[in-house]
Amino acid sequence: MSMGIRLDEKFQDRRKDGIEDAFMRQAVSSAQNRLRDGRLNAAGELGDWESFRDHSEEIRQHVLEHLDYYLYQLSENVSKRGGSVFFAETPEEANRYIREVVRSKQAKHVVKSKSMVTEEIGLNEALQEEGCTVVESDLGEWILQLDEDPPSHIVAPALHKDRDAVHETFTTHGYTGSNDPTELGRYARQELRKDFLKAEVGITGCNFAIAESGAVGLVTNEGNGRMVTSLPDTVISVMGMERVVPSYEEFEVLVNMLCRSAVGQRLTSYITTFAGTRAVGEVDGPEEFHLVIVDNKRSGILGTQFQSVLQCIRCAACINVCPVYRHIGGHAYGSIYPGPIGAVLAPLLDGYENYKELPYASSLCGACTEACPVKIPLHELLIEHRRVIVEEKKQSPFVERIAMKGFAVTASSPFLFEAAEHVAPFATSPFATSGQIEKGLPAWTDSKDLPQPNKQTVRDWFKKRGNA
Amino acid sequence: MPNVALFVTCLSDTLFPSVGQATVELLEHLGCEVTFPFEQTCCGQPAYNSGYHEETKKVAKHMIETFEQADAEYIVGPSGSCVMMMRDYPHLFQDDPVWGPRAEAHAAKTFELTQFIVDVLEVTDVGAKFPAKATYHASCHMTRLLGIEAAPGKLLGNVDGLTMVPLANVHNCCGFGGTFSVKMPDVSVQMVDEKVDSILQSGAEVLIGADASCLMNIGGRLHKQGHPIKVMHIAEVLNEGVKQA
Amino acid sequence: MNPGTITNREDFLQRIAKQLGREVKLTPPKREYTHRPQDEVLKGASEEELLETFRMVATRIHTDLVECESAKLDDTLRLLIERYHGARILAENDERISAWAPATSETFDWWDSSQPEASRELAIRADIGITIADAAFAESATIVQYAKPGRSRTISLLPQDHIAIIPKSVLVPRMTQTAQQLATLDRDGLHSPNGVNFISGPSNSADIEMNLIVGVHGPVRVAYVLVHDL
Repeated sequence: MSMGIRLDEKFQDRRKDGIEDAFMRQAVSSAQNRLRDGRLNAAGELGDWESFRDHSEEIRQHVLEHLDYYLYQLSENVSKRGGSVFFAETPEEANRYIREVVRSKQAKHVVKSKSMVTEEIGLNEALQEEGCTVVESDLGEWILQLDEDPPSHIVAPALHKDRDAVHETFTTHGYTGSNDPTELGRYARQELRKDFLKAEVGITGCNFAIAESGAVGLVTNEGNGRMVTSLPDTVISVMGMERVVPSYEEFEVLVNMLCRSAVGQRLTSYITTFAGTRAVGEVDGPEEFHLVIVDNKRSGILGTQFQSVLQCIRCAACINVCPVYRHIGGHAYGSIYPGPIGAVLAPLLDGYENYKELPYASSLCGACTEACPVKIPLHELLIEHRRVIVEEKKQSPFVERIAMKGFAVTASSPFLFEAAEHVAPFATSPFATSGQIEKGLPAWTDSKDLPQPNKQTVRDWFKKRGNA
Repeated sequence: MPNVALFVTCLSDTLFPSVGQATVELLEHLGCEVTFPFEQTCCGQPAYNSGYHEETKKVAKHMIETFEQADAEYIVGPSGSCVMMMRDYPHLFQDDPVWGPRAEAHAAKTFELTQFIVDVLEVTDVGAKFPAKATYHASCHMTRLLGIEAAPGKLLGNVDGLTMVPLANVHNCCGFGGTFSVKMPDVSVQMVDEKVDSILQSGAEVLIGADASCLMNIGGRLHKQGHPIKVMHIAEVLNEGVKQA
Repeated sequence: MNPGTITNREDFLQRIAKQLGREVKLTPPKREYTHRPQDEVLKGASEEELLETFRMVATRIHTDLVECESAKLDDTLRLLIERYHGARILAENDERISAWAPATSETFDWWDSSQPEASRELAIRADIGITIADAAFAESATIVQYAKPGRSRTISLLPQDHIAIIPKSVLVPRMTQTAQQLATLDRDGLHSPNGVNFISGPSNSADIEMNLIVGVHGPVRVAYVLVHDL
């Protein structure tokens, strides 16, 4: 899976599919309500949430301003602790390196913990070409893998599936039990345990790497991150280049924000950090460790007006409050990063060609910006994308361009503006019944009525009143 | 006597003149001297949100000049969204040594109506009387971006005879979003439908809001579907019982 | 390939620096933060208040909490093991366990790093894994396990259930205090442990219809034994 999902279909058609998927919408809206409440409770319990947001923002901004130093320090420390570090500019470079490592270990079985960046670079497909079996061990990701379905949420990837769908998937793979979630979970435990024990190579993502320690930090509830880093002899961690923090102190702050924002927990069941290879006298932990640091167009965002999007800690709080996501679901976005963060990030990582409509998939209600624990001004970045599309790429629709030029001329001339106000009641009168316009503007009047413009504006009334 | 220049907003001027009229009467009732700078047009938000920032600047300059000439102590408008746009002018001109400071001065004296009444006039009981069961739609720009959360509730809480009932999922956008509602009507209508459901479930007879744009959106859907819910701007509610006095 | 190799770093860092409009800078930047809210959480809380928080959160995260004095630890462990119907018990190789629970620990298997395969096999088959916490956080009812020679990262992971003995002396308000200790080790060139597990209750998942499923990969049940006088 690389970044794109169902890009052969138009955005409009993908939205339609989402809107018509009643189960998905029910699942998404109830999940949103729960996750939102959970986040607000967890934030409230922490005390001064705004101060935590300010601190998290300044940590992330500091790291981005000094990213070269922190990546240098991280790689030095990983190396000192026996790990190898590969800096990959492109997905191809990253995949090629990882394939080489897997080949050198003559590995046949690879087990993975949940990672968005490996989805982004299409690692699983690359490894399958290498002739390995690759098993996703996060329960949600495993369900999707068995079903060959892409994720629809960055934290809860199988949110769009219900227990019956999971039951059906598992049954196809030999499960004989009921659709009870706990029983389904036990089956996954039993099956995936075998995979963990036979895997020669484990692959993880990275929530945060700690520069001063040379450690990679993983945040999970299931414990798959621990399995993948404790059992296989070779471990490869793949990280987006911005996911570094200076020390354990900043790590602690951001992990707390991540857990509370993503799932409303004070801390998730497992926060795991591991640095380099295992020590003499240790049985578990990797004997060989590789850290792959991926750029994939991120450096191009640095130093631009979009830099703040690199502050993202992938908590999905913005997705969990987005009313557009609520109604169209994750797959409609056409990107493994859906919701507001996806609408900002996808055009930056993969170009406007496939994603130029995403910045418009927002009512600019600002719920995303308000929810973001690291204070990314998401809705402002969406407007900025629109500005780039209009003013730099010159790709906005012709009719809109003319209309906006006309608007600017009219709205900076009181005479024309007032004239337009007075023409409106007459222009719309053929469509109006007793003061309401019920047809004639399909994008609006198909679903909503509109009051007919009044013949007496407030300024007319005020003028008359003054004369009276 | 506070001197207030009315920022009428285009929607109120043309589609909902009773909102602008109520705003004027209410402010006068509260002891303000209200002027109407007739040269004013639109805040420019439709162009700004669509990415046409050069066009927006032209409109913004016109508005700044118009209100500079009016020379009032305060600029007050009955819309969180339009006021938010004017408050954001400094951002448009941040690298402009001439227009930057003018935009700052303009933004600093611009207030949304309920914010002005509660925070500047320091009044929470305007003396209105309106016996009805109502619910309040908190509009996104006003609540989140301007940060006005308490003022409307304080004012409505003191309206004689008015019973306020809660609105489920009050934080969710009504789906208007300016050009969003016509660019992606498929999604917009799902959003307004959820809002309409919440309103119907609340049992309210009247829907009150502080932004004519949201009210036009929700009201348009309610009207299309034939629901007999009355839609009112908060200025109209606060002016009830006051204007007869 | 040699361990410790770093590949493609120079070009990569140059690309970053160029975007930031400057040369690559490899001197440690000054970290001057204007906010530090983490020190305020549970600041000045008494020991009893920390314990109350720990108890409340442990329950919330589906963790059994048993409290005792060290004199009663032997009995407490025995009863807990009976309650969990544990037959095969694997304990980490820490002399304190046999000293604290001389009778109960007689039947335990012990992790032995010199027998890696046999030890791993014991961990896979064990009903219960027993560890001693290196630190514990009141705020989130979290225990901390450091990796070190002779120890295993899997005793708290592979067995069906996990019992963690927590000497009360390791309880701190929250993760902030432990993070500071670890950062200090790194800063002093002493290296923080090469593996740290912060554990808050049993393994769980909400991936099917947002329903809580306990015990997806790690332990199904977790018990904390908080020992007041240790």
